[in-house]
Amino acid sequence: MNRKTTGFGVGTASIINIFLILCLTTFSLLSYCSSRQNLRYARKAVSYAQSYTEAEYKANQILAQIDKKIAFADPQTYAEEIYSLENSDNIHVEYTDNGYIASFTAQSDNNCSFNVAIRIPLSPSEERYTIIKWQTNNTGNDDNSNGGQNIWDGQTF
Amino acid sequence: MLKLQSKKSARHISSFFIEIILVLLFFSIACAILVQVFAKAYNQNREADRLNRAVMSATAFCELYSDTADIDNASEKVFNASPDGNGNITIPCNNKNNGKNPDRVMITEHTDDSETGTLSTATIKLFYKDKTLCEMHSSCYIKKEVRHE
Repeated sequence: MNRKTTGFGVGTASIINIFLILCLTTFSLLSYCSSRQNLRYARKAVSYAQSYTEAEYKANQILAQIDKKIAFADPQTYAEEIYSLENSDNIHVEYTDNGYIASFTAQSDNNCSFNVAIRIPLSPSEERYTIIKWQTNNTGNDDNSNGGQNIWDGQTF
Repeated sequence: MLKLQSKKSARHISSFFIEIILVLLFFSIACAILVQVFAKAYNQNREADRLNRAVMSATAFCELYSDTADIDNASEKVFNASPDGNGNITIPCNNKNNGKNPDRVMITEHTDDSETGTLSTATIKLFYKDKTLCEMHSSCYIKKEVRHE
């Protein structure tokens, strides 16, 4: 009646096999998901950097146009010519005691825009303008805007 | 009695071997599929790494160029090399970085010169094995002194 057991009976190999395959599947899926996310974020970074430089290029173009108008403005009709900047490229001109403030937004195709403001002297001078604001504004859609987690906004209950 | 026992043990051994064969077959099929998933994940990670490095180099170049509009200075600082006549920079690959860095950079410059200032634009393209990784435009406006008569 004494049965000899080998310790590695029928079924043990199947159980070990199932365990190994489950482990491998889990690790492979985790690494695949992680790498896919990495690639997605890398592509987003490229897209954001491209739109940033594109917006900067547009801002420089508008600045060059404004500079051309200021440089060749007739001293007799200087103020009118400064205000005539408002006719193009969504430029907004405002009068202050320190000079005219011309502000505009250079928008790239998707993600990024530049808010620029320059101070133009009240009368024609050698220094035609001074940049007072050259600010990036991220207008891209955040992935967490829909269905993201609610984060405490710092206000007490 | 002995015969019956030996028959039982032979059947036990044969069923064990059949199981082992089936297990190995199943395991090899599963491994073939899972290795492909691992390989895909590895390649995606390398591509992400390459894109990150490309965008960092391109951004550094654009920042330097937008300050000075000096294409040679910017490329010397970022890529340790100046572009040739066609605007190309070939980055030597060493074994350590092989496959992780872009292998070729193309820089072109366009200058719009007017009486009031110069609007310079540089376009930088980074390649890996003739595939474009990223393309960026950097610009710089430098105003000039205008003398009214």
